[in-house]
Amino acid sequence: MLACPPIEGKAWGRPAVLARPRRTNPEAPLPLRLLLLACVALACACSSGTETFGPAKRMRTDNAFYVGGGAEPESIDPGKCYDSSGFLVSGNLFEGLTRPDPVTLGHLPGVAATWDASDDGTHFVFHLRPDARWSDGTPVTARDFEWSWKRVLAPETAAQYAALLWDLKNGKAFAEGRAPADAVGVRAVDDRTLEVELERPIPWFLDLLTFGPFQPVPRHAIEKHGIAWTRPENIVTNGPFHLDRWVINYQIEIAKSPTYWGAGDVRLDRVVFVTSDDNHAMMRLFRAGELDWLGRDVRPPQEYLEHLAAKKDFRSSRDLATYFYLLNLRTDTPDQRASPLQDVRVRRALDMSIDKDAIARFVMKGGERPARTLVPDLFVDKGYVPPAGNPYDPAGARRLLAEAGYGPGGKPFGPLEILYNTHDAHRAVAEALQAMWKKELGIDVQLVNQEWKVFMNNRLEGFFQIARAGWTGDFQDPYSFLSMFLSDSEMNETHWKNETYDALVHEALQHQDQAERYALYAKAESILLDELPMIPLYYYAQNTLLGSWVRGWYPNSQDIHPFRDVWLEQAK
Amino acid sequence: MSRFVLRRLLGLVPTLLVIFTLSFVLMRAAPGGPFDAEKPVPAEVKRNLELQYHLREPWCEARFLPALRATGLSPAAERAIRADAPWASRTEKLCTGAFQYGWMLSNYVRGDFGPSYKYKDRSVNEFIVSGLPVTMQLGLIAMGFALVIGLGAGLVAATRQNLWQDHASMGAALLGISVPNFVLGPVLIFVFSLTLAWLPPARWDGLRYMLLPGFTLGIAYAAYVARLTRGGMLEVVRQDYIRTARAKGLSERLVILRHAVRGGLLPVVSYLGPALAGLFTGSIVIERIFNIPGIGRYFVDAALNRDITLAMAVVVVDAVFLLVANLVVDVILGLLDPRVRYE
Repeated sequence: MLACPPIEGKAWGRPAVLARPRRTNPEAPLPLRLLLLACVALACACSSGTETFGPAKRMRTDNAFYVGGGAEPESIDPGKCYDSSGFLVSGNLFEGLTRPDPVTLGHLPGVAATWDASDDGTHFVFHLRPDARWSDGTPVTARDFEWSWKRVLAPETAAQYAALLWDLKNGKAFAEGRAPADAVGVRAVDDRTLEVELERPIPWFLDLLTFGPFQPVPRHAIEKHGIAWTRPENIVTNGPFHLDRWVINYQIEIAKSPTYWGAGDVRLDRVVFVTSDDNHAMMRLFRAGELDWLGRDVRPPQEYLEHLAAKKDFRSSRDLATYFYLLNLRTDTPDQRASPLQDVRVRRALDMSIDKDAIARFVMKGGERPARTLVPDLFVDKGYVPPAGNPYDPAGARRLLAEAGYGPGGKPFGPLEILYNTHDAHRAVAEALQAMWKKELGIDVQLVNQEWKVFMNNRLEGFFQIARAGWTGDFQDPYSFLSMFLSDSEMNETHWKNETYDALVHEALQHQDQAERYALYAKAESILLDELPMIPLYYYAQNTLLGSWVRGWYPNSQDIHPFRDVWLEQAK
Repeated sequence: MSRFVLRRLLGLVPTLLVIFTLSFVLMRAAPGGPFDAEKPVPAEVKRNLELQYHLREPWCEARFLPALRATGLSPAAERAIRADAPWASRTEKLCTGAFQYGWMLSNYVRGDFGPSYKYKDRSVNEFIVSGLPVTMQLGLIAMGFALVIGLGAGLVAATRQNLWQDHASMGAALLGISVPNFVLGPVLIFVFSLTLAWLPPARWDGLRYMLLPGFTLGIAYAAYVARLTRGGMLEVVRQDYIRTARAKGLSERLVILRHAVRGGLLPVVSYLGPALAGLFTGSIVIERIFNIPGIGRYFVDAALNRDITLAMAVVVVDAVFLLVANLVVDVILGLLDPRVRYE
């Protein structure tokens, strides 16, 4: 009976037409009767098709946006926040110098009304709007920004996103205790003028300013309340909303802020984040009409996807994220040095024998696209011309493997080991690869799954042969992906090193012109795909459920939807 | 009796200390730390975090591995230093562990569970204070269902032994024990929330919200209670004093309710202690399915996040409940059963 989900049915609150179960023995065991009832309900529900998964019309009448908030946020302090669910809340409570455009995610004026930038892109002067105020009525000044940014950098804050601000002049030096705070390249000239100097040009710097670590925090509240400043009774915010209520692991409520300079544009009275990391429970709440949007961190479980595809309230769009496998190229131990993966022909053979199209369509089923490159296909829309990558060519793969001296009659190929963190979808992908490599190359593959923290530890320490990885871009530039494989990157767990690659990626940053930059990125990526320290598999999709009455919500690559711009059609 | 209670209460202290120590050692032995993530935190930041949470002790480093104190030390460099001096590295880790153990223990003595490693703006006490009452409410509702359904079914089965009523309720009990609550919960939600729309499918906002999770959680306990009641009653009704009561001409109703129940329910009472402790510290599964903000989820989540302080706090709270519940049951058994002596 439970083999029939995803299930269709009547929405919560509407009269449900249910065939009465035939009179059963009144003394039949209770659970048995319930099962019977469920079967009958299911039978009649499965036959009646509905066009939406949730209710067709909004059940609630209040002007509050109910959102699946994901897991309990680790912190909603924008400077110290690290998790997606925390940024979902803090991003609507605070506003940086710029704010994200809800459609393109480009930058719009936020607390800064205007700014001047130097031609080389390393020097900025921001002019703050006079009507920017904190929720307690005090003005937001340039000094607030200077203090907030230095707070993120200061070692004692231990902010996990501090590295984003290392590109400020002397930012890294101050963070490591090698320079005084005064030397950092952010300075309040007066209350309304902020001067910023960068170590190197960052073409996407103005977009980055919309993000948490660059948002201002209220010095007066933090100095008064310490870590308890983010509680509803203490918090002071400068964004479109202020924090109203926070029940641990249950819900977070934010309400429209009357002191926000753009309060006239904000059409929602409240937003309620329903906290839960159980995707199934959230699906049921959406189905029952208790949520307006499933949220950014809640994803419809895989078994629902085919059923949801035809529903009107189902939204699927492309995500700025790539799923790939890391190949360990370290040479610290004899085992690692003897690994067949050290031979680039073997790596290419492995890549060429994977039918990525089949993985995206038949294993994932949720709108994922097969990946030949690390940089996601979204950048192609912006003019990125990606290198071709390696084709799907099993015969060619077998030839390469034979050239490398493996395969029939050649050196024996010990079993390869794929390491992944415990999850159904990761297992399904690994099993597909296991079957493909066995069939096309005759290679035996063992699958090893580990709980997340153990897995992460082993990846960092290099205890793997092939490991699953996924990466979501932090900003809209291929650098966010390509910088992972720079020689000195801490995320380069493969220890692959290529000087030409490093030079090309670094050189690209010197170009403010996007086309020139992208051309250099493409050159760098073609080296990456020739050398293959990683095998790209697919680009992620964002799948979600959104009530048909929600307006001002636009699908975009980073799944950021400022609630400043969202409204509900049926609310009065 | 007060001496008995006092002695048992004093006995709790060493038991709790053993539980505390064991869970501390196990948590520390697990690979991976609370600050490991896909995007590695800069070495300096991680170092500061570890210092703040006593995962690193400057004193131990200076004493056993001074090389670790260099500024801007990358994780790879630290690994190399540790690999070069395995013995010093192990001593340094033991020393840090000892410091951390002392720090946590001194916190516990003051009733402070310390800061959460994952939720950086909160103390563990806040999680317990906000989650425990919810979990206890859920536990009470579930216990209510368990007692009403379980005692009812058990008494019916015992008084109608080997008749169809007996077979029906014992069959139901078997089913109740066998159907796991992660199956029963979604089935009930499907029927009563999504199809009939009588009750909300999840969340915690008043009595209506408590019925489905309470029933789902209670039903397995009800099944045990029913079987224990039936067994206990059947044993008692064969006793001489029951025959005496019947011989006096008392009605069957009085015989059962006044004489048999007191002895027949003893097994149920001794089962209630651990059951109540289990219910009060929550059900991981039920709290997840119904999105209930209790503390049950932390048993799994905190351990997976390596949130050492939070994980240990729930273990210790659970242990206290279990030990106290057992003590209360022992006292009640003594009151009910004249054969039991407090020794």
